[in-house]
Amino acid sequence: MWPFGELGLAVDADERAIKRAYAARLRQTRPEDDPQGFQALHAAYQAALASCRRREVVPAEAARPVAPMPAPDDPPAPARPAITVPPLPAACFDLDGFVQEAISLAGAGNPTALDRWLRGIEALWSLDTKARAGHALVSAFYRQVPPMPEACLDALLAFFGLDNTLTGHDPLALHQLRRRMDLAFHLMPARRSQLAGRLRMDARPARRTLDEVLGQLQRPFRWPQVLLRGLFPAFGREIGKLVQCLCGGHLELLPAGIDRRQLDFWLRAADVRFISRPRLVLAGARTLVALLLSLPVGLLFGWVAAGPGGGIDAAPVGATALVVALVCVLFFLFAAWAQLLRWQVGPAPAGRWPGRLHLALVPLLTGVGLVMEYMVDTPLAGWPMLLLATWLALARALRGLDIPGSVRTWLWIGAVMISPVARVLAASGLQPEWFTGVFAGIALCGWAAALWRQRRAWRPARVR
Amino acid sequence: MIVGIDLGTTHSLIGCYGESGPRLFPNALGEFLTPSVVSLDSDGHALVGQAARDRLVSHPDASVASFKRWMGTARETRLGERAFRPEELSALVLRALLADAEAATGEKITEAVISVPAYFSDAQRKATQAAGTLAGIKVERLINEPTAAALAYGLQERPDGSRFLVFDLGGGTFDVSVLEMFDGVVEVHASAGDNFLGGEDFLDAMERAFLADRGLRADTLDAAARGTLRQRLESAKRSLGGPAAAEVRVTLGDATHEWRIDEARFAQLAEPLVQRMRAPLERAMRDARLQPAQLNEIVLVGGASRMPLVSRMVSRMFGRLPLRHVNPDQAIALGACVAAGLKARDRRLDEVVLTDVCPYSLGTAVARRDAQGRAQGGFFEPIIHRNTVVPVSREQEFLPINEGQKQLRLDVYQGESPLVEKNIKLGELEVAIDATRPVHENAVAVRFTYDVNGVLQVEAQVRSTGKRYELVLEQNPGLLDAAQIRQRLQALEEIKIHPRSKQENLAVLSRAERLYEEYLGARAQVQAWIAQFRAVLETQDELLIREHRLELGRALDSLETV
Repeated sequence: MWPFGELGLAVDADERAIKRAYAARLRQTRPEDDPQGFQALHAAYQAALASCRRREVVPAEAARPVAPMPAPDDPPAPARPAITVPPLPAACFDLDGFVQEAISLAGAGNPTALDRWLRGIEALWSLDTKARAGHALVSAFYRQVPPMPEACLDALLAFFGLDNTLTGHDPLALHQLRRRMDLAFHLMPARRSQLAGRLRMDARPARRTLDEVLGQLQRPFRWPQVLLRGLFPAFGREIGKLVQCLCGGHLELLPAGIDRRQLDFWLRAADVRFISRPRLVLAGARTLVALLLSLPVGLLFGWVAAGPGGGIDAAPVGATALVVALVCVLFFLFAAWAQLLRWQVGPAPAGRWPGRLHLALVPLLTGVGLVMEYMVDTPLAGWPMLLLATWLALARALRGLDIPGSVRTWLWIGAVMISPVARVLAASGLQPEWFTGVFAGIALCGWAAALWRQRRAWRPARVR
Repeated sequence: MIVGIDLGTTHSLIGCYGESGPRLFPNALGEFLTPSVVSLDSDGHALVGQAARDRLVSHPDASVASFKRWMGTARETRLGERAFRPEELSALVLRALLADAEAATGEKITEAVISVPAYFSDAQRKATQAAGTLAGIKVERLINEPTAAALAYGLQERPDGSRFLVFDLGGGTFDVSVLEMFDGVVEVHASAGDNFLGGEDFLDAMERAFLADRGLRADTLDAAARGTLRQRLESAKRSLGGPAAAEVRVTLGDATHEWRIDEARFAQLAEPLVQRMRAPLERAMRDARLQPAQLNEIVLVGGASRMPLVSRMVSRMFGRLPLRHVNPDQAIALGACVAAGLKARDRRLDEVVLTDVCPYSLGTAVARRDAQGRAQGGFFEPIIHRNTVVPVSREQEFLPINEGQKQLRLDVYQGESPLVEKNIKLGELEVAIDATRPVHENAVAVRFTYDVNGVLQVEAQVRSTGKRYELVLEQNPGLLDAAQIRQRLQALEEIKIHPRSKQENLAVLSRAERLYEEYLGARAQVQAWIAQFRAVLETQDELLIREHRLELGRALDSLETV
């Protein structure tokens, strides 16, 4: 029912009429006798009042003059002195100046002094001024994110009564603002030694790392400098660790002084779970440097090999470069394999084709392995494929199972030993086809077991 | 008959709604104010009121005051052989008050309306109700103190169509309420307060300053000396206000100390306390959505509001607003009497309807998703917002955080912080949900219902299955359950309060004993008086006793004025 209808009024009723109608109905619907009826009545009353106030541009209450202050009329207290009223300072209060001073004082990090200062401001005794100052302060915080410790922000919010619910500020946004301001405060250069103490990095080498890492993050992104830094893998890891300590993965909390491109680059470079562009670039740079370094070493070997006769033997130079290149290639292959394994063990990717590939990789590899085994006229030609397929299938099937560490170790040792054992068996005259069949079977069984374990995910698609 | 009771930190009063409006009953000494002090004498009888207050000095181990501050906690106070909970001490005060009311009306009293600070929590309200049960009455309603004061004031003055703020600074609690009155409706817009701020804190500040100035330490004074000191400081506090400084002259141990305090020094000592009064005032105004200019008046009640610095502070905050002191000590009790009349459906109050608010927010703990979609827990989601008109029933829906979640735990909190860790946990409710359904189909509707007496009920309903859960608030360690109340009621009934006819004799005797402790120079004299009066009491001759009592009273008066 419409609020005005419920109160028995026309829609153009004024505030006085609404109150009179409410009072009359309230006598029949007392809160203690009829809670539900009262709630409905009160809701209608509030709605009618709200719509009436919206209608009136000038609220009736504001127009009502406030009586001048009469002398307090309580005769039994003759000792009461005349009340001194301070001049109303609301009009001349410098809001911006106050906000700037509050921010700079809070940035000093002493909540007690801040509180004392706030309490001493005479103008803030006025309720109006105080409410305006509080809101000006908070909106300045959202705009500037000035560095200040949590204790100081809490003191400010408590003073202005903004530390409770129903103030109109989103609690999550305010909570994040508090953490951002606190982080910005602790990352100020002047607070570096306190930060080092907090992170337990105050020993000298750790302290130097901290300075280097923060310096790097605050520098604009330039490829040559970044590549030079990235030659040492430990540096990227240090950045990852520090960022985790500072903001627990909530990168959006870091202050604006941190270069986002730097941050993104180093975090992705440090993330060994995925092959990413930063990782590839850094690995490429490291390979290049390793190859370049192999040249003088090779030349040295060549000079030694050539003997006292002088000149340089070319063979060791090429061999050294080849060894370095081989190590690098192995490293790349290992990284690619680790990535593939992680992708297979992890949840299915979102896209249609990636999803299908994720599901069918094990039977695909098994099939390719078997085809190669029987088509190509070389013994054990399909063996590497089948080995990979078995490994992937077992990893998928055993994911999330609580297997004791020792059993797991033996499983992997067994998997690694399969190839040499098979070679020995093949050399001793046994037919290798028999083994390829068994291992293809293991791969497919493991794959099927993994599917069965994830059967919940394969239910018919639900309505989203 | 329903009586109205103001159960205060320092004083209590009782009355009823009579033929010509609210009426207070005097105690045996002919006074309306009965000090909220309990003392046990050597034969296990309880003394309440002025006599007990005097015994705070002479028998500090067997006397206790200010126990209202511990309501809602399990703190026990040892008096003589027996330990008392705050509910039991309050019950003894209530029994003494009820005896006064029964003597005045000649009726047996079974029901009462008791006033409590508006900002009393759920536990403190339940403890007050338990105190009523222990005193053998049914507490029909708890009324908020500022609301009571406004009722009394409003019915007396009939300020129709006006808005005013009630500033209630009692002995131990501070409350602010913003109200409106029109056409017989007394509508509370907002209440706020501080349960641990009152006249006693101002006295504490003075005591600390005195001890610091004199180079004394509080733990070196014995209880009797401290009692004496506090009573002297209290009278000095009351005499402050003019330009003249107040003098305190007190003998502690062997030394006599003289101390002066003037208004400026007192204001400086009270500054932190005055600052603490700002926040509740601001919050009440903000929640009532009113500008200071929209208030017509500020009403000061509570004994401690007599301090001049209170009116100074109020005018500092509100500018030039009329202040009105309404019989600070009695306003709340008179209002409680009106509330009792309302409860009893007195014909003369037919026009009056009172609507009150729930002074604190009640809600549950939730997790919120940030811009990156991560759930962050520990946030407080108010379901009943503070200063909502009661009775109220509100429902809100919540979703589980994760897919496949089997259970949803509803933590019920009371408080104002946006983070639950800073609020008070009232209880929790486990709701089983269907883990196979997706998150958005697993909505749980949570309903909070809060009635006029401040009793909270929490219900949850799983939308998909229709299954209902109801919260039984877990037993708070600070509260007694029904069985414990029955057991303690029996134990308490063994403690007899001295009959009213003996009260005047006891009061004089206790006062003499206090003066014996305080006036070292006159000890022999006072001791002789006490012995003589005891001998007279033995004769059981009413007339003779009365004569002697008056004489002894005069003698003690002259001793104290010297």
